[in-house]
Order: sequence, then C-alpha cells, then structure tokens
Amino acid sequence: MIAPRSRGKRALAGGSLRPLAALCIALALSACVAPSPGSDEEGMPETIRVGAPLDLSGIAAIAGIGTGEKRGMEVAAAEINESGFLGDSKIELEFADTKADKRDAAAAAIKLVQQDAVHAIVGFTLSPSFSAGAPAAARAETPIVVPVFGTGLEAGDGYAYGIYPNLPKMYPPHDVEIAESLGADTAAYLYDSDNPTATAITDARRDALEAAGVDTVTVQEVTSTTTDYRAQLTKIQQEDPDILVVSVLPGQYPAIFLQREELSIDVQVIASDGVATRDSLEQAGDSMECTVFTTAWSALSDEGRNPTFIESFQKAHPDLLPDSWAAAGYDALWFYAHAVKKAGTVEGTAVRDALAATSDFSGAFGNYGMNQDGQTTIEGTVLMIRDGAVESWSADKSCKG
Amino acid sequence: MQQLINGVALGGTFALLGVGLTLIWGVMGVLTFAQAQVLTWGGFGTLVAWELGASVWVAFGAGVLTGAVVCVLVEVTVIGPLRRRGGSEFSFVAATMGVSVLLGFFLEWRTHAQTLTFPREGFPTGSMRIGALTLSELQVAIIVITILVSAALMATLRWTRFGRDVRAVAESREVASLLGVSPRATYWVVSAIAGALAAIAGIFQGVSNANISYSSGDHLLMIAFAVAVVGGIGSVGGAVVGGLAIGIVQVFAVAYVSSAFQQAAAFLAILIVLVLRPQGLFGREETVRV
Repeated sequence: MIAPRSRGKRALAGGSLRPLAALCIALALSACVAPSPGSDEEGMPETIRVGAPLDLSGIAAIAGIGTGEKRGMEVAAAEINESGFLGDSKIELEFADTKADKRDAAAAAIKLVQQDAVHAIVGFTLSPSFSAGAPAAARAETPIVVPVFGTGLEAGDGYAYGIYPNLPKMYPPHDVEIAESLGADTAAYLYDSDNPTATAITDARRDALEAAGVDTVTVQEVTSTTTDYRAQLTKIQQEDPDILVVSVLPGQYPAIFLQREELSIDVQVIASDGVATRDSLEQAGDSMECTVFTTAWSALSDEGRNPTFIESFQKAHPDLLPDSWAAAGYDALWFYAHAVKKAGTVEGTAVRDALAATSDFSGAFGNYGMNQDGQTTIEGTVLMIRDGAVESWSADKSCKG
Repeated sequence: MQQLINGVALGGTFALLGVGLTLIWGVMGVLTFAQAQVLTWGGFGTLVAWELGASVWVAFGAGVLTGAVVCVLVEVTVIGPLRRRGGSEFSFVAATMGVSVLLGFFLEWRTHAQTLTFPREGFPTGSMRIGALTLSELQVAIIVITILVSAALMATLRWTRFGRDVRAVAESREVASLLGVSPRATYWVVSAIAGALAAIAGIFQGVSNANISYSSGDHLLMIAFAVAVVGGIGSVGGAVVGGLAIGIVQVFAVAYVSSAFQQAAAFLAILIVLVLRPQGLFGREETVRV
C-alpha cells in the first residue's frame, strides 16, 4: 500500500464570475437579434460564402467522416470555380471544426450565419451536430445542404436538405433481399446505441426483416467509443443467428471483424455504408471476406458525375481513394451550386425553394433529385467483399469466407 | 466461462492504466489526466518503430519506452516545477488536463485527425480451442502480461530497496530526503513505470483494433480513475483487482442483463463499493487531525 500524500489547500480563488457571465449573455443576445446579412442578399455576389461546419476532430471514427466530406467539398469548389459554373461568382468555403460535439456545432452555426454572414451552410457531419446547429441557421433563413445524414431533418425548419438518402428507408428492402437469398430465418443485430441514426436504421432493418419472417434472436448495443466487442460477439455466438446485421461507425468495423475472427464466430454479416473503406479492408484483412452491405455511393458506378468526381479526387489526393463521405461532400456543394444557378440569387428562401425543386441533378451518387421530405431519391446499391476487394452483389453469387 | 475470459482480458487493460494512475497518485499526490494520452503515445511509439522497419519486439519495446519517456517528461517539465512552486491539487489537475490536450493536439495535427492502421503481424492474434472454449491469443497475452507485470511491481515495491524508497517518498518527501532518498529520482522512476504500463495497454488496444488514432485512449480515462478509486487509491494490488472486477462486471452485464447496461453496470458497481467501503477495496482509512 502506498499511502496518498497529505491533501493540499482546497480554497478556490475568490474572483467573481459575474462580469464574464454578463459578457456571455450579451454575446448570446446579440447573436439572437443581429440581422442575417447573407441570407437576404439579392442577385449574384462576387464571392459566395459557404459555411462548412464539419466534425474534423474529436472521436476519430467520426472525424474520419468529416475530413472525407471536407476533401469532397474542396474538390467540388475547385471544379465550380474553375469551370465558371456560377459565372463571375466564386465559392469561398469557410470551414469550422465542430469536433463531434453538439455545443461546438451550435456555436459554429451561430458564428457562421451571424458573424461570417455566410450565404449558405453546406455541412454538419452526422445527425447530432446537425440537430444542434441547424436551428440557428434556419432562424437566419440560411439554406443548409447536409452531405451525410440520417434522421431529424425537421430541425432545419424547412431550410435543410440532405444529400445522403434516408438510410432507415434505404437499407431495409436490400436487407430483406439479401436475407431471402441466404435463406436466413434468424438475425442478430449490433449497433451504436448513442447514435440516433444507427438506432433508427437498426429499428427499421429489424422491422423489415421481422416482417419478412426473419426472427430476431438478440440485439446488442455498443457505443461509438467502444473498442472491445467480444462480450457482445460472444452473446451473439451463443444465440447462433443465421445473419448478423451491423450498423456502426465506419472506423469501428475492423475491430468488430477481427474480434469476430479471433473468437471463431462464423456468421454472415450484413453491414452498412462505410464498411469497405480502403483503411478498413487493409486493417481487417480476410476477416471481412463475404460481407454484404448496401451503400449509397459506389466507386464501381459510372452513373452521373461519378467518373469525373473520382478523377478529380484522385488528382487532388493521389495518396487517397475517394469514399462515400467525400462523394457526399462533393455532391452537397454541387447541389447547392445548381440551386443557386437555378434561383439566380443567393437569397435564402429562393435558394431553399430551388433546392426543394431539384429533380434532375447529376452527381457522384448518380442521377437523382430531392423528395418531399428534403432528402434525395438515391436507392443505394448492394456490394460484397470478395478476395479483399469490393464487387457488385447479386443473389446468385456465392462466397466462401 | 467464455464471458469470464472476455471480462478478465478487458479488465486487464483497465488494470494496466489504473495501476499507473494509482502509482502516480500514491507516490506523487497528483491526479493526472494525461495518462490516457500516454497510453495513446505508447501505441504510436510502436507504430512509428514498426514503420521504420523494427521487428515486433523492438517495436513493442519502443512503444513502452515512448510511454515511459512521455510520462517522465510530463513530470520533469510540468508536475515537478509546479510541485516546487507549491501548486495545489487543483493546479496539478488543470496542468495535466492541459498536457493531455497538447499531447492529443500534436497527434491530431500529425495524423490529420485520421485513424491509422496498427500492425498486427508478429503479435499473438490467432485463437486456440480448449474444449468448448475459444481463447483469443491476444486475450491470453493481455491477461498473462497484466498478472506478471502487476506481480513484479508489487514484489518490487514490497521487497526491494527501491520499493522502500518509493514508500518512504510516498509517506513524506522531507523525511525521505533526510534518509538519503532522492524524491526527484523516485518521481522519475515512478513516472516511467506508470507510463510504460499505460503504453502496454495502448499497444494491446492498437493490436486488438488494428488501428490507432489520436483519441484512442480517451474513453479509458474515466474507467481508469474508477479502477484506481474502487481498488483503493494508492494501492497497486487494489487497482489490479479493481480493473479486473470492472471488466468482469461490464462483460457480465452484457451476458446476463443487457448490452445497454454495460457502462452503467460498471459505475453502479463502483458506487456500491464506495458506499459500503469509501476507501475502496484495498484502501486505507485516513485519519484527519484537526
């Protein structure tokens, strides 16, 4: 036993915090009442300021998504400006790191719309940041285009539009098709319970599979910071399901697959978007073999502007491969640019209406438009991992892991 | 049985970090918030050595050395000067929080906030079957190393001259100095040991996940504090038992209650222990003289 040393002084400094509190209140009030110079500007300005609040740090599994979105937006901005798509107007991106923290997201949104007077926001990585930051932008009548999105778009109060399709709607039909092709009767689920999107996705996948006659044997929760999944995987192994449906952050997949392999758990995995990034394939190796997943974006697709996106991305980042997040950032900025061109102005409500009316957009995700819920009509495609590479899935393809 | 092994292995990682924390508190009287980053830096030390072409054992040693050096540097450049200027407990807490942020920021900057691939080749990553049990070689390695390292540390503190010096400094720095023991050298060695233990945990975590990032260790800090407190702050054996117990409680919560209660179950168990035994499982009651 090593005894702790005697305690030090516990007296707190006696300075008053009231001046600081008053300053904070004054700043908050000024943020509420200040006009929004960016949103009511008519015509096309020389510089179109686009705020991009993204999770660029914080939990690494989320920061990886934010940095991907940032790269895609930068590629799109360069294309838009160099091609003169918006005439003499140039897009200027104002990035803000929201650090995977709701408070930072809210603060960044207030700063961008009030202090920086951006014309639009293209950003917010994942739903929690969006839910925290969108109300401030919507109050200022600033249109918002969200690259990656899951649930809760109503927080944008009619000014928010998501590029990613409604994932709780996109996955289930494909899951049912995959399960039927495998002849699965039972399913286990593993998901991030602290992520509202993953929760909504899992609920929808489970409802659809149960409706299709696939019984649920266990539902296992983890969090976005979990790194040891062995307890949940062992529990799943004990229930012996035919399929394991996983909805977690992309950065969590390698550990899940490797720990599944260590424990010799042999179950067909149906994963979600982001499972097959280059890093995941490199880290998880053979343990991901035969995994099937539905994705909104595919490098294999030559629809829309996808070939152009891939070429531009690889030119800008020779050491990296494009991924779903970069594609979403790319399409989000291009989608906004199209709406501005159609509206002929950067004025908030006009751009919002143009965003809502877009039905013929061509982007990295293919050709699509916006539905009445403010989300795109992308249906997704099913892929599988075989021989360490990603390829199209079909019911008649066999795979031995 | 399978879940028991899962729990002990999970608890082994908690214990390694918790032992370092309790050692620093017990000897130096410092509640350090930098230890999770030391864990991460240890993992990065191994990664860098591996990328430079080192063998797995050299890379492992480099990671352990990195953790030790970082922890000693924190003692030399921040905690030591603060102690000499009569810093309070709160100033140590604030200072080590600042160190943690800076260490994390450096890694974040160098890695562009990306998750990097951690090497697994050469590490025990296969599995073995004993009857109906499937044992992960990595889990076995974590359990064995945790037990060996903790036993060696406890034996050193109890039966060697260095151990007596450490206990003397922990009891009273002034009296230890009068007896010819150098508190400063003791602090350095204790810091190195705590840093090395955290680094071992960081390396195992990297191997387990096949990746590492600047924030890899952050989520373990709260658990490590809990381990140190439930074991009895300042007690190395207590931290080991506390770590293993929390790991087992977390895993059993998944196995027999619900995965939704994994985190809550651990902290509920900690609350129960502290209510029944405020000094922790192996802690010593303090008498305060007025």
